[in-house]
Amino acid sequence: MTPAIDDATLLAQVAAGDHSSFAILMQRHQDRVFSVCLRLMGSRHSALDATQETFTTLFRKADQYQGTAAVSTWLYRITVNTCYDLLRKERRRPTEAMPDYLDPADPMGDNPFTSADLRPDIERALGTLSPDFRAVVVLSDIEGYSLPDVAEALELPVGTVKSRLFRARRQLASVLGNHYPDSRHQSNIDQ
Amino acid sequence: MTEHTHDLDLIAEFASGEPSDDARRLVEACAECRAEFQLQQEIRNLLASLPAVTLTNEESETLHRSLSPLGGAKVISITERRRAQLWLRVGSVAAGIFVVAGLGTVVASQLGGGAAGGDTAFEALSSPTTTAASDFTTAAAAAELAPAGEESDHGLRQLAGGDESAVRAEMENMLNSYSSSAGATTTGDGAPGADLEQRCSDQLPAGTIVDRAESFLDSKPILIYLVDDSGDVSAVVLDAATCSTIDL
Repeated sequence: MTPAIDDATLLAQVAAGDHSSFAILMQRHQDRVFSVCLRLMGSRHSALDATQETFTTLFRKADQYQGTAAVSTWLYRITVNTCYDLLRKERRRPTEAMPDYLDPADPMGDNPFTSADLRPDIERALGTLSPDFRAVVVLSDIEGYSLPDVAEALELPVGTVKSRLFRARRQLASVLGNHYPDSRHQSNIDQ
Repeated sequence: MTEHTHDLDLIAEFASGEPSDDARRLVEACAECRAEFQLQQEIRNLLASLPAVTLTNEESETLHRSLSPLGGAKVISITERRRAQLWLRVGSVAAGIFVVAGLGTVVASQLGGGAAGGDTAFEALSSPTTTAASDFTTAAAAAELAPAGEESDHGLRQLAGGDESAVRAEMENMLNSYSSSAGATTTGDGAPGADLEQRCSDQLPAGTIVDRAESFLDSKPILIYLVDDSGDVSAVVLDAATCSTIDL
């Protein structure tokens, strides 16, 4: 069985003009890219636009990939930046409408934090985060990227990623109606 | 009693799964810090439980279709896609179109698929060799094959059109004209049709476009293509606005 061609090789082939490699690369990553776009943009229509734009950019910039990060990380950097640009153009946060991609509710669990019925609220709460905070939460807690990879994708120090993640989760908890340790804690998280 | 100065940096570090010894000690020693950490973990777990998101088949099709100009219509599996979706109607009564081009029998083909995606996202990327929404070339080549008639805005032969029977008649004329023209014009550089700009090309069956015209079906603008696939010539009618296949 012929092993699959790795992403870096495919990308190099795209840069060299091999367009079929572009299709393979796209097929391989389109769902993950779309998932990130959907969480950032808040609607399937906008997410599809962002996904198209992301792969267009990948195609255009294939020759600029330097190999210092994984192709997937580089791709998700493009994805996030594309979504940022589109959100700026839209000049809104996708907080109004409930995202249209939710699964049907599963039976409730005892812990409100684990109840599937809470999922619509989670999605809505995500929309209340700034794009910067939302990006770290999406890449780290939802997509499962390691903190170094998130830092690489977002071109941020790891410490900043941790800080944003921490604050974003706190904000989500607040939006979801849960209290957290009171404010006499001294905060020394970098702003 | 010394009050803890809760170092949220350390809690953040602990909550991110990479605790230093200091972070671990803080969380172990401070109840409020533990509560903060637990809240962080619960939110993290909640987010991790969100269902995976994937493109629907239709969305994926739309994505690939809209991005096919980047890869070139010939290379991004247009042939493979069309072969996978090609439905052959042998001796179709509905189409009523057949011709013998040397050897083969025409089959009227219908292509499935959803609504064609727009090209707007990629107009800036269009090169002369890629498909744009309203970009045709080689009008001269089309005219060479065409009977007398006005050229459309896109440089194509403009047929009168009308109802289904009128369009079928026009298609038959095209096929007959093609079959009666020089037999060696199906493929190859310089052959009429070989370098025709392929509008709505991803809705066409595999093969070489050897003729095309614009027409009207019940006042709706349509495109009629003749596609020669190694001697099998088929005529395809497409909605000019959406590129969707019209089954006559």
